[in-house]
Amino acid sequence: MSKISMQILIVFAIIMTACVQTYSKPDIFIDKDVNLTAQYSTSDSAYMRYPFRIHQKDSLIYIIDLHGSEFFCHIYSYPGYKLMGSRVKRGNGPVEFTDAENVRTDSKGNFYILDSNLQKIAGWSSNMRDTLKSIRLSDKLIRTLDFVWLNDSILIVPDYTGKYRYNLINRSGKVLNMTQHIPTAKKQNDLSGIPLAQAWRSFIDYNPANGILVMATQLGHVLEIYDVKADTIIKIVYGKYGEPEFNDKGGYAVPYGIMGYGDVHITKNKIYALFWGRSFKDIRNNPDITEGGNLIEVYNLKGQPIRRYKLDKYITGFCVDEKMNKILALDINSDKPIVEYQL
Amino acid sequence: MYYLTLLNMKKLTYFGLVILTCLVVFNTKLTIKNNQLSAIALNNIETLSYAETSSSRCYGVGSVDCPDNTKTKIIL
Repeated sequence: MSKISMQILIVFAIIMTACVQTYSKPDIFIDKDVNLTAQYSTSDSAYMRYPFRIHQKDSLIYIIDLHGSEFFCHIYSYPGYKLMGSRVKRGNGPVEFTDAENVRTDSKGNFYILDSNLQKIAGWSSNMRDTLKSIRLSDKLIRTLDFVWLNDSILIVPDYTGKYRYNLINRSGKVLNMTQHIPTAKKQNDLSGIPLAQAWRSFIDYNPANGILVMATQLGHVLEIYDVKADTIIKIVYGKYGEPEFNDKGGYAVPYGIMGYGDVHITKNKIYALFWGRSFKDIRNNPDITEGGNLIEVYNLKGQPIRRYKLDKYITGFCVDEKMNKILALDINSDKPIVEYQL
Repeated sequence: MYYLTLLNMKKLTYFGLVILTCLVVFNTKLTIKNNQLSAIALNNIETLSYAETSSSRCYGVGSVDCPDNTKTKIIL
């Protein structure tokens, strides 16, 4: 065979290979898997359609039902799991909510809920009786999908404009700083700002003990670790499935890659990230596919992998009780969704 | 004899290129087909919110942000 023919054959072989989608990054958690078995709590039943977030503060647990029909937030005692009350009423009235993305507490034990449609963060006292002054978020933010307290005066929220990565805002909702950039390898232009931010939509957590912010992409396999005080990047961890993949359809990002991370938490010494890893192709072909993920990746604060927990249940959200060394999680496929994993 | 061999090699090369091209086209069509949701699958999906914009539709109960600001399982 002549040299030219051989070269043409090689080029076609390369083109053929390129048409087959492969993930070239290695699995950094190979040989680091640890199996965990759930213990179900004997919780009072509050019907939850889509338990999504669980947050523990001292002797209380706050659970967000993302698709709550009457209330979005249910509060339980901990560790007894007795239902103490429900707040955040669904509705279109002046004190009602259309959405609840997450729940956070401040140092005084007050709890706060983000309604991303109304662009407001509402708060209640720890005794659940008193409502606090709402934080009306600046229109400059466009749409806010998560939040966390930097301190009792300043919040961190992910950026939705596509021009930055996260923003600092005060209790009046005013933007104090917009910083960092989406760590994409793809070309960016002004038209793709918001769709890019939508595709890189991330769940966040911050720990004031170490000053570290962690962001985990919902639609890709990227974990970002920032030193907020120094405003620097500690590490960007690109997982096996790479960055979010999407098509820009009329100015909106329609994902076609994977459901990536579902929740993330940072403790004093470790980062825990819940990973789903389900492709949208699989979801399209099997619409009854289980929601949630069963892998929790654990990193040190420098972004080095430590271990990966393989759970026996599929969960949508979790938190870490550092004192008791356990994970509290939400099994969306059970009537009693609150489960515990002893580490 | 040499020219016969050369002719056979040329035919073999062109045949190989045709086969490779067909495989590329087939693989692309297979990918497009897998991206289309069947009518039966659509009927079986529990729909909390159905949002249709000019270019996308949301199906199912989930945590993905839909263009109509609800939460969905998948956007097409």
